[in-house]
Amino acid sequence: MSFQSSLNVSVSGMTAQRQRVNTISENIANASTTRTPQGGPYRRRIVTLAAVSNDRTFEEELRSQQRSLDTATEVKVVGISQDNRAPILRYEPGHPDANEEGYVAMPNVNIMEEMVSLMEASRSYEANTAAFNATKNMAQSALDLGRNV
Amino acid sequence: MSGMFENNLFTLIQKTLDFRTQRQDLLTSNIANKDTPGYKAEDMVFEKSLEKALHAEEPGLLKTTNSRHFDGRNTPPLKLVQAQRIHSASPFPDFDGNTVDLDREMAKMAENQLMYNASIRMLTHQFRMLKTAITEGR
Repeated sequence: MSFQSSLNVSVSGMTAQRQRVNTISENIANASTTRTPQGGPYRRRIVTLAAVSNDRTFEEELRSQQRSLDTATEVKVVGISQDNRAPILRYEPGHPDANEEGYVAMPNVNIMEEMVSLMEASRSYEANTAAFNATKNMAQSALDLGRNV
Repeated sequence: MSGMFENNLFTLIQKTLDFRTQRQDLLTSNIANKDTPGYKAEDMVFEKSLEKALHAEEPGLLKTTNSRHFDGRNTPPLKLVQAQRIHSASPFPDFDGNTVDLDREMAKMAENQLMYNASIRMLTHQFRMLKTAITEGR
């Protein structure tokens, strides 16, 4: 079913964007975390997206080979990696995690950067829901075909 | 004799609906991958080849005296028309190589949806006309 593959693609987009929002929230929430189980300050995390052709049944594969068309490309989160930028040093001698010179290693999270990514992710999510609704509308009108003949 | 549902118009609508469904696949893929680094936006064109095929059965440039003669026109019949996939690169690609232009994709998707619904409506109309004929206009 071709409509189903369109819907699946939109769902994969929504899942990927939600994962992105989760990671961004994690970064914002930990923007001033100086202690982690691995030691040292929290490190910013980044979601990596990749395009993948969706999983298909044998029949679908055969049909797409016949038509030489492989139209649906889903998106997937292929990994969450750490930002390797150096921690930001802030002068705060009273802090328990300050070094001998009075500097505290703070997470390499830039709130501005995170807010921009957050907005981008939420807009992308909306775009995917719009695409989902458009496809649903098309399927609905096909379903109504011949109802009022 | 050709069947009730085998005339050119039914085949045309059927083909159009097929292509629009496939195009929807491509457009949703573009939207889902708008943040994927290196993803290239794709689209599908079929209007021209459909239009050409629609007139495939009309006599071509050369006069023929036998149905097996070649009339100088090289168009596939309507049933075998294929859509062409094209790269629909945005003029301003992102720094990560992504060529999806969200506004354009949304506009195309709205158009695709409207045209699909229009085709469905045409098909319903055809059915209604057949029914009028079957029930002798009553």
